[in-house]
Amino acid sequence: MTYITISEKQTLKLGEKIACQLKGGEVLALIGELGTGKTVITKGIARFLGIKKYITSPTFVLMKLYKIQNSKLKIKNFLHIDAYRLNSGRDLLDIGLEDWFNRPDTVIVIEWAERVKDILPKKIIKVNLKIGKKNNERIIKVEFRK
Amino acid sequence: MIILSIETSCDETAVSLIEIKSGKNGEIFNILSNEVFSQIKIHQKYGGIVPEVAARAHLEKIMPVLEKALEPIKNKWQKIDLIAATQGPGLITSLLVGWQAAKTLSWFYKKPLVPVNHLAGHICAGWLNKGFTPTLRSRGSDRNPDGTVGGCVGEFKINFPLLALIVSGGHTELVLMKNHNQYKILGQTVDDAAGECFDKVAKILNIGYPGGPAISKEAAKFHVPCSKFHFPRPMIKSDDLNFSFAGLKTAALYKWNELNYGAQYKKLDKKEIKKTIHASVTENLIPFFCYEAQQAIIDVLIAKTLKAAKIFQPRSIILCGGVAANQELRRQMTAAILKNFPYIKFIIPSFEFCTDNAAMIAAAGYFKYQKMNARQKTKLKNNWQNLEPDPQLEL
Ligand SMILES: Nc1ncnc2c1ncn2[C@@H]1O[C@H](COP(=O)(O)OP(=O)(O)OP(=O)(O)O)[C@@H](O)[C@H]1O
Ligand SMILES: [Mg+2]
Repeated sequence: MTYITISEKQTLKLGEKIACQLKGGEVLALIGELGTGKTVITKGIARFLGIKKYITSPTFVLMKLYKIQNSKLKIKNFLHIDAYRLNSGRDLLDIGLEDWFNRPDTVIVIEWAERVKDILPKKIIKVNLKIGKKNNERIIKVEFRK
Repeated sequence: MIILSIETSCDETAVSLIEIKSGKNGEIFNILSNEVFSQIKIHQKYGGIVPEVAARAHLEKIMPVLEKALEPIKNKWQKIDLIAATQGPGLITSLLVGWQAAKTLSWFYKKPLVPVNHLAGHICAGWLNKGFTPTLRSRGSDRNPDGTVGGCVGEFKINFPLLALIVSGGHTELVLMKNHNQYKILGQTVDDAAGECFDKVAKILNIGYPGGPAISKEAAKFHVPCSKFHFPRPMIKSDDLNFSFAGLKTAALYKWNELNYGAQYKKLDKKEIKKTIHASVTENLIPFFCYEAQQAIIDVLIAKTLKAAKIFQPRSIILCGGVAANQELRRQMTAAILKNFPYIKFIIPSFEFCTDNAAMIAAAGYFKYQKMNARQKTKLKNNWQNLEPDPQLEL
């Protein structure tokens, strides 16, 4: 499904829309150049999951883990990863990411996922982001891969 | 007392040895050694820090750096009273190396181990201004009598409440300290950190890594603002004390694409494209661009600091963290504070204590240790058994 958003707000909303279909255990692979809105859409997902903390760019620290307090949700952990500075997925395995895959209580979002595609599970939600021609336009393709 | 401190939260392997004595105006930090091995050269060829490469370099350098740092006491471990090490926040793969080293040393030599927050370290760097003779700067001048910029205005005593602006590659935080060890976050970035913005703009322009120095070097070549260029100052007028730099990154990206590829979209012939790009890009455009991007970042940092100062009326202000090494930021922040709050003491650590170093970790570890009771102090001996590094450690 392809969406066109024309503001940060709309991309946030799209993030929420994606998030409401999450059951836990999913990996979202965000693919798109600098400034396309990967962190923005992640903020939307986090907002739907009830995370109050600021979702800041994890470029510097590689990954950030957010605990979800909402007792109504099965999802308890939200893992936000930025692979911008990685050469391969091994770097992520080195820091114990494997333990987080396939955990039904965890949702993982990976920015710059194409850099670590060697370790991505088969079942992912692929989100492609591109800058559109018009100002503030973003073309966002969401694919559920089963 | 003598503290051995270790810091490896990102891309510098740092070990320091500090002797602390009491003086008229509080503690005197005598820096016996302050060893830093910077990995910048290693990461430059990748255009940024590669975590795995960083971990490897830390592992390789930690022992030589430690040995060098211990030279002033000739390896006499009985002289060391305390070990302080960075527990977080940072890159887990980097943190682990220094932290494990500290734990091993603590266990082997039976020394108490104090875990230190890296951000607390950046603030406490303010107490380290080695070699800086406190002088009362003439009002209105943004230079110290020795010609340097920044440093400390007035006698060297940091009074609380202290307002701290921490700016680095991973952080942009305004913190209020009512006393030692009391950190209250007043505002922070809601997306990218200031240093990250420098890095990413530099990446867009393809002018090298790390972005901060690359941008300020280019910016220095150009001084007159140009009407063609105006980047947004994100959230500069917002009611809170938060920062946002993603918008600036995006504005820079749009502008750059427009300037560089605009010609191509318009289907000009190759020769003409070359002419357009050549005329604008070389010499003028990049310095222009960098000047404006840097100024946008500086303007926001200054505006929010002044705003926080107005609300919380601190007695001292400190500008710290890696980005505080930026000359223009130092100069303009000094001038702005002198102009608006001449009675507030303003401190900028010297360069070596702005970028990551272990001496600042010793200072923060010392203040933490000072506030502990006897029982807490005894417990520090067991820290090597159970404490782990925390990449998301909060202040
Ligand atoms: N339609 C839109 N959707 C999302 N963001 C938009 C849109 N229009 C403009 N923006 C702006 O684009 C920027 C996106 O920045 P963001 O940090 O989310 O990008 P990113 O893809 O995470 O970049 P990076 O590669 O640096 O991590 C924000 O400044 C946002 O305000
Ligand atoms: Mg991002």
